[in-house]
Amino acid sequence: MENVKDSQFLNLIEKELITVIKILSSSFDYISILGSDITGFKYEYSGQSSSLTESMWADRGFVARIYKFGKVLEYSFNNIQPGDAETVSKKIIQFSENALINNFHIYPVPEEEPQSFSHNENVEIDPSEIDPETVFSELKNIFKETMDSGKSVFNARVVFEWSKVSKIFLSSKKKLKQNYIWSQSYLIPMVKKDDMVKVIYAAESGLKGMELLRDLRNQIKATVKDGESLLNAQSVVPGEYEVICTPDITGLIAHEAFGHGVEMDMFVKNRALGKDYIGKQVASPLVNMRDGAIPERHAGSFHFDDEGTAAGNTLIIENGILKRGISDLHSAFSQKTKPTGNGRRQSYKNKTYTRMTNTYFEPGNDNLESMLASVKHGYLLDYTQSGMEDPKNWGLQAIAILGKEIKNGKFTGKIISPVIMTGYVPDILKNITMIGDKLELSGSGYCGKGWKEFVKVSSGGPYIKTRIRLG
Amino acid sequence: MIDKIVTILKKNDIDAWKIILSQTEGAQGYYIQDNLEMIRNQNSIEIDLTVYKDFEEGENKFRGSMRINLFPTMTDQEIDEKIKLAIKGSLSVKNKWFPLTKNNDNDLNLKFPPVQLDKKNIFDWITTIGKDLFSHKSSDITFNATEIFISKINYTFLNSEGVNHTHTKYSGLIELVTTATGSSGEEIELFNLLEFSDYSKDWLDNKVKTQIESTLDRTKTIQLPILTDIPVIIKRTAIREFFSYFYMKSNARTIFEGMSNYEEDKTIQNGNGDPLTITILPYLERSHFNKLIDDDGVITKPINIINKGKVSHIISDIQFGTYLNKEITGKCYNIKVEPGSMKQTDYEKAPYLEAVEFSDFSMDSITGDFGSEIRLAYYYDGREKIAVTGGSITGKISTVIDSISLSENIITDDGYMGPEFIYLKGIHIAGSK
Repeated sequence: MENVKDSQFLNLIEKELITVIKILSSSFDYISILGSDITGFKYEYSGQSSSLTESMWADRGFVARIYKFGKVLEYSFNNIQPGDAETVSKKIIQFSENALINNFHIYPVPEEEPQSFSHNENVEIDPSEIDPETVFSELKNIFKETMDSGKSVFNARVVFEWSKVSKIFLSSKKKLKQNYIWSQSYLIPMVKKDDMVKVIYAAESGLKGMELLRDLRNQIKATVKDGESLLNAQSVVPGEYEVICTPDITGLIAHEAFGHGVEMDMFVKNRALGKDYIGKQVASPLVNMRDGAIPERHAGSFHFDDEGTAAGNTLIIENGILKRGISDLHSAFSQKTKPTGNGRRQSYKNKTYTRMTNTYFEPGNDNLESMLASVKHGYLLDYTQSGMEDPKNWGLQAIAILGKEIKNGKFTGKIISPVIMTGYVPDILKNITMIGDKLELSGSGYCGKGWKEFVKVSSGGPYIKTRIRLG
Repeated sequence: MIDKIVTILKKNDIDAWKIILSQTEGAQGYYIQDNLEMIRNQNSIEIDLTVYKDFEEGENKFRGSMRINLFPTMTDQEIDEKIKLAIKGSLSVKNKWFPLTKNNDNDLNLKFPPVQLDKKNIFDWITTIGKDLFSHKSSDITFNATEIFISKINYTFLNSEGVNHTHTKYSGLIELVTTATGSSGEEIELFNLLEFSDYSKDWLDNKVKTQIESTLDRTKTIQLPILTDIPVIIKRTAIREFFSYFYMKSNARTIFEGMSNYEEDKTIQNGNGDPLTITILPYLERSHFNKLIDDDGVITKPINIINKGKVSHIISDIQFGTYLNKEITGKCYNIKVEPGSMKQTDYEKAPYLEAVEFSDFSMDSITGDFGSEIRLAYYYDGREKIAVTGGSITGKISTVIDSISLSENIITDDGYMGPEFIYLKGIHIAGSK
């Protein structure tokens, strides 16, 4: 295992940022600065073309958060050189003088205990040390094996992307640093029958490096087989069915149905029904649900959030009862709870919101065989396509690419695609009757708040059995 | 900064390069009800550099490339090291050779028409737009968690072939969340993201009035019932997403990779539906999709992709257009659809489902599968029109394209000019008992 290195740039500029904080401490009630230096690359290979670009997550910049008389402002910037502390401080003061004349919602100054730590995660094969030729060679091998795995495969795309995240959080009492690498890889086989084209994917992700590609390779045959089955897929007859969700779909439900619904900044704005259900039954007694950047090590993991709060591990639903939400600093203050370490931002250019990290249903005691055997007529749903939250009205939209029909405990061979799951969230969660015994997380996509503000998360759980409306 | 990068590029062994620089001054206002929660400023310089290296294998000529980000905080040494990394990376990217855009003196005078947003400081616009928005407050409607972003962006494109173009553009966004209370006391919410490149109060007033009306209607909804074999009418923002299928199918890269079988003169419709005529436009009033030049530095122009049900042109960027031996059109993103023959009164005589607000209308641009959960629709059962919510609709382009009907009246929305509604048969509706 290799230790992820510090950002030399952040180390170089740290003194300057500390000077900015010292200069501004006399003008403001509180100031913190978050610095980010994120590098990484995305490799894409398909039969006829390839590309190598900087990761969409790569960025370098700073955000200063300042409090004055309870009013909160943020100044984000990415141009500071050694010796620039005075100039940057003046710009922040000038900005605040213009902005503070408005009427604001009032927040208290964050109460901080002195804290200083630096975490450098480990990674098995550090992708920043690997020659691009070697990465493309691996991708080509996966491509070739995919092309050879099914007669209907006419093309495929193989993607490997990594990001090295370095962050520093500074205030008058805190100095926190963290460095970690996450990676994700995709295999996207494209299959064809006459004019009909279908696409499916396999994905791997986590706080890992190049070793992800080994895991991706293990998925080639099953993914191609499922892709080819889409060529004979039918539309589902709309209705309510017994369904078994793979861990991928379980994660989609956990994330969309309830994860967004317990982001407590939505409680503050009265935009989440969950606020009124704390302490009440919202799911089957079998259901336990968590969100936390620790202890699971996955795409949503970190050691401190973007407000300098240590990573949390929150039990949200316990035995079907909604226990608590997740929060950033402001929503925790407004709801008179402790911040849970979920204050996250897309980049230094964006505001902090309450955001999920690794969100999942905890494992139960059932195995997949017994779950399948219990289904009279229903579907096994797999492959997340997309989802959208509706925390105010607890509606659910989740789309799976594929459903396999089950009758009397056996697969019939009939495939449905695509499959839209809809329903009232508590009904879906209360209908859960069986929960598998193995937790699996997936973090190959990203999560938006509405249609913007994207952050890396993972979600998952075990196989679950429930009833849900399909269309 | 650009001069520094170009100097370093010239010292390295590079066959070609392009730089896209965006300097952004942004103002962001976040509200809880009509009180500001926070004001943010964004002051950033972002630089995308792509380096190209040419190489040959036998008689085949290749052009490798790698795109990297550079930051204003980088030292000369850091920039040089990253460029050297990009050179090495580009040699592992084996793409058939393609040219870069050449200098064209016509570039020099390209600019967007004057905009209202240029008349005030971007922070003042946050206050102005907030006031305009909250003037619609009433006892029936609450505005909640409004977010207003205005950015002024100085955009520069230059490449090793002599293209050197700069213009200023504005980008705006309003997250509009409206809440109303139903008769049994439950609160109902609708939210939309309004994106724009220029602001007008009349435009906002219309958007807000429509959303208020829909929010109030959503308080009166019943659950979508089980419905079979009735036509579905799609309105508002989902329409642009619906037509994005034809945009993707007409795209040179999609064709090159085998995911589209579109070619000029291919007939894509047979039947009695309204024939589709679709044009891609570089500019539409207030559209946030407006582009003077594309990411290759090609000057954008209108591209008629579908004409009366036949493919007429392929949208060709410089790399994949060259591979397909097509005229390079550049890429822009506003979609214009010619109107059809249908009036609203034509479909109002028999049962129908008119869907206006979706959770997230999704179109799979490869398979043509589309659908969404419904947040607000109107069901006419032959006697009365009832507001409904929940459930979903799903359909396939291949099923609906031959019988599609388009409204004769048109609307203009962000990135879209065309029929106000589309009328579809053969849609699956998943309602509840």
